[in-house]
Amino acid sequence: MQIEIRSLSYIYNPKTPFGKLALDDISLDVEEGDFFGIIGHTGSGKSTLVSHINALTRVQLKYNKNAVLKVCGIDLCAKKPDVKTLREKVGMVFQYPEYQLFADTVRQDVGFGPKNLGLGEAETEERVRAAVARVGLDYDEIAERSPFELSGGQKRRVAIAGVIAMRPEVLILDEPTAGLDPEGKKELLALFKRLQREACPTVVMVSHNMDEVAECCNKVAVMNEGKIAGVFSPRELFTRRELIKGMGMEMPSVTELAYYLAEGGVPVDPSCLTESELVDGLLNIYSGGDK
Amino acid sequence: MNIISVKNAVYVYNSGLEDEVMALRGVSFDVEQGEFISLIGSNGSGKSTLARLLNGLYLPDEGEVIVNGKSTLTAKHKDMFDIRRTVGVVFQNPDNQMVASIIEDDVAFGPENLGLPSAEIKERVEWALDRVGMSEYRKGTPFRLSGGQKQRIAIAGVLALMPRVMILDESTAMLDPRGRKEVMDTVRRIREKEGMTVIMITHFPDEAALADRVIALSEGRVVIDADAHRALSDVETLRQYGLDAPLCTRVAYELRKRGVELDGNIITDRELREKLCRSK
Repeated sequence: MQIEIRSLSYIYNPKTPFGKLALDDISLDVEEGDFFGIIGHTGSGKSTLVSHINALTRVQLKYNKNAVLKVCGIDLCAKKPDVKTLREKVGMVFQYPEYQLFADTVRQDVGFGPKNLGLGEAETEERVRAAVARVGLDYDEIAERSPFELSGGQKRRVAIAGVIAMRPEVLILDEPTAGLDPEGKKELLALFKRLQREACPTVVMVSHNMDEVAECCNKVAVMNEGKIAGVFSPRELFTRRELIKGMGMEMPSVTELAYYLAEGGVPVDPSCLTESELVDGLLNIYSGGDK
Repeated sequence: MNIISVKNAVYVYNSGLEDEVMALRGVSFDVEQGEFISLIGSNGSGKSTLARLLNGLYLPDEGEVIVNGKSTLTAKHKDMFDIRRTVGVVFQNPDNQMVASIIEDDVAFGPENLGLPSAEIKERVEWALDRVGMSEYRKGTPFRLSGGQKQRIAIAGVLALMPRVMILDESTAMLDPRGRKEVMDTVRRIREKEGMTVIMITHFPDEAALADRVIALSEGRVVIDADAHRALSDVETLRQYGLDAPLCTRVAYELRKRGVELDGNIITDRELREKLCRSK
């Protein structure tokens, strides 16, 4: 088990009038090989949850007497958890990671993490080179340029390369494609899928974009008001339209279109998740009848 | 008369340096009062540069941009002031557009700078907040709002200047689906009630489908300029420029390709449903 969570709670501003229970008795398992989606409306606790996974938010031991939080074998409910090892194993890509670029050159920026692991020049260099190539950029062309003069999509890739250069076992993505154009989104999702296959077998992705969740994830946890409302496969999940809508979320656009067509009298199965499934469903009805 | 006229506009970043980038390579189009235009194009196609040219934030290196009869290139102080009053811009990041700690002060910032009498400022602020459906929040602080609500306040701030043209520069890109819907509903309502000219820059083809006319940029040039139905239903041309058609259009395209007869240009879910029901 890569991530094991039992009965985890978290309170913002405890013992003040602004106290807010952000996580309410959360239990969750993420296994090696999962592309694990976490969805939920704004304010449902998604970011609080994932920031526990690499110990940016520490377990409030006082309110978590019986909680378990183990990530890559490291016990984060311990008095002094081994955070340094944890951060080597868990890579976190924040929302709009390009805002975190800071160095003078792409090479320095991507190399910052490995260097701080105490790696030598040669190994740092090798890791930087490999990470930049992995995100689909040309190292020789880009290495000595300032990250700030790159395009938005390139900046984001450089920021992601900085995380990948740490060679994490678990990759956490918080809204990784927000603000990109459709082409950029597609490329980035393909990149994450490839990364999972080749380098980092466990991925946790927080997303608002149900199209992406339907496309990439094998399991999806739904969060609502600090609780886990359930863990589903995408197909199970998106047949529960009332549940999704009731929690203020959207359906994947393909599924939503299929529902809309079905409600208007087009006899198509609304449970499809991809464009080609919908097209095939419609073809069964329309071309079959003609011939 | 055209409210905006862009004539062969060229814009170059870092002109003369080794990392020179030609963002616009001769762009021309006219905007009539009351039009609703979507401006689409992949990242780096020049959309946002163009938006900044339209209200004189940037000046073209070649060609010209004429707003309300005045060229941004030759506009002196007073004319530039008039251009900025004519064309208001709502930007992408809601957090970068808030200037005051109380919502009604934030919306009043523009009209105050126009030097209007306070009674009129008050009236405009109330009207603008009403138009974006945020009146009940007027004494609150913008910092506690959701992204969609913040963007509606930013729209109110532009509305309060009563511009004749409103440009939305990817104003929904950083919002969650609910926020996107809030902003799009607001834009639609303002269009219906005020008949304002709107130029909406967007990555989302389903948002672009709300406009009457679509202009697509690719590598700094206008590659499509047509009514929305014609522009967005041409799946192959859009793909050629790295752009997507709306989902329903792509589905119709695939169905037609495999022998299902569907007539007309389909760019909304409703059109697809109607066509499918009829051909059953």
